[in-house]
Amino acid sequence: MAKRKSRINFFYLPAVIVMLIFIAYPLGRAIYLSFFQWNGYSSTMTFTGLKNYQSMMTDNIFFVSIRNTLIYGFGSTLCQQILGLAPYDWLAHPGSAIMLIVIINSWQFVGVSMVIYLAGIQGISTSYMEAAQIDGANAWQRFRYIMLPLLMPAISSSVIYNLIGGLKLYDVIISLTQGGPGKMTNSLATYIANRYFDAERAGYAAAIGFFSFVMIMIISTIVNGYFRKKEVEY
Amino acid sequence: MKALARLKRTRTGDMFGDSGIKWRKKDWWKYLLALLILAIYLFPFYIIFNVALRTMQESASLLKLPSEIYFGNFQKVISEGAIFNGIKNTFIITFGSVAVEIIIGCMAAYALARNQSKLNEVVRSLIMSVMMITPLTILVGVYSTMASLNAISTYWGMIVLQTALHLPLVIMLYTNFISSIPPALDEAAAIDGANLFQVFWNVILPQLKTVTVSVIILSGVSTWNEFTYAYYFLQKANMKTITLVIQTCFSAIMNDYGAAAATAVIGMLPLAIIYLFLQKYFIKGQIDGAIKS
Repeated sequence: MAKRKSRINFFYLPAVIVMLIFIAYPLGRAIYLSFFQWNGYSSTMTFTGLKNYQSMMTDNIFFVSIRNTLIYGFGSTLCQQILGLAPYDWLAHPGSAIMLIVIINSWQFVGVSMVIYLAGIQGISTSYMEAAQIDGANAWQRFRYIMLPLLMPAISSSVIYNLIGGLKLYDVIISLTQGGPGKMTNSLATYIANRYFDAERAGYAAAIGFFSFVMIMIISTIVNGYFRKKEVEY
Repeated sequence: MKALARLKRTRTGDMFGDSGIKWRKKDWWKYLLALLILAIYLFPFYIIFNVALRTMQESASLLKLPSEIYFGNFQKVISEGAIFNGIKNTFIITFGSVAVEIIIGCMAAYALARNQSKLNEVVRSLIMSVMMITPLTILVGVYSTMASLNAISTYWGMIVLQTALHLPLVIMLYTNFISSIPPALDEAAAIDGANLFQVFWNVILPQLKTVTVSVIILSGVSTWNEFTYAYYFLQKANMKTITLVIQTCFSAIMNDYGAAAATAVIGMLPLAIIYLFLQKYFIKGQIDGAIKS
């Protein structure tokens, strides 16, 4: 049985090979680049050690981008029910532009959560609900004590997916504000693009990219751990 | 919409043990809420149709209908024909990558869900960590990989790249789902002499219908609308996907919003049709489950 258990690992080989070639190698290369000064296209690169990481510490826009990334990530995940849009030039002010970006991103991805929940709910056998009803549980109790715990895997998938999507937010910001006004709505993702293409600092962009990867990983590991504790076995 | 309403009713019926499908008066606020949410969701579609059906000179506010319905944008986009080539390219790439993702994704998930060894925990968290990479970070490396494989501006290159990017999500959904299938089923089949592949094929696969529909929708929609990587890796004009065709309406000289909106409307139609078709399977999967139990 133990041999059978380890032979099952062959089933994930194709997936792992594809991801090694198209993700792991490029990521390794990005980390390598983050120790160089490079404009993104010339054939000469200068090794500068940790200088790119040091420049992050004195870069105000970098910290603004971190703050915005957190707002986009958590804001979009939490915010579901903001209804009215007042007649007001939202994009002219950083504060309201950030809020508008959060709303549009939530609008776009509530559907995704719905699909995940629907699949989760359908995976729950109706016999559990019937048994609880026979035992005299009311609708709320059936929801709270039967459905919600069994739905935990779906909830954690959905929250993690939305959170990561929000923390990586790029296209909505580019098309609405291009990171402006005054670079104040940049997320880390758009700031990477800005440094890479506009400032031609590819090495610095790679360093920010590596930083954002580590930051998102830490946040989602913590959130994932929280939900794992709430899952039940049955 | 009818299908959605029916789905909602059957679902509440099943979950809370009520019988029959009937309009219940005390639930009026649920219907009102649903209508309100629907209105919020349809609003951007109203705007995009509104832009597509007006001239550039139209002065009426975007909230109001244009003073005269104008089909010129659609005529222009259709006669140029780039959108149809775009739909073809997008369809091939989306279909190809979703198919490959489903096959190697549920295989990988089967192994990760059934053999939870220390090694596999590491493999699993490494795969999940891929989701946390912002696309532009790895662009340079992906470019050199694609160039050395001669994969730039090819269908297969884009299909494999999209597969690699979406596998973590697909594997996460399948792993969570397979974990909820009792392992006793596998063991019973193993005792009956089934090998690993037979267990996978006969015991696991038949149960994955509903989660596969979620995978098709989530991954399919995101590939259909993908822009960043398509922009860099589909450089030939005849390889452009829908999002790239829309982008050609915007240039330094003029932004043709009408043509962009008309292209977007035509470009989302196939997706809407496929979605309506898949929705039936949601309902079907649920009825299957009810009959089994």
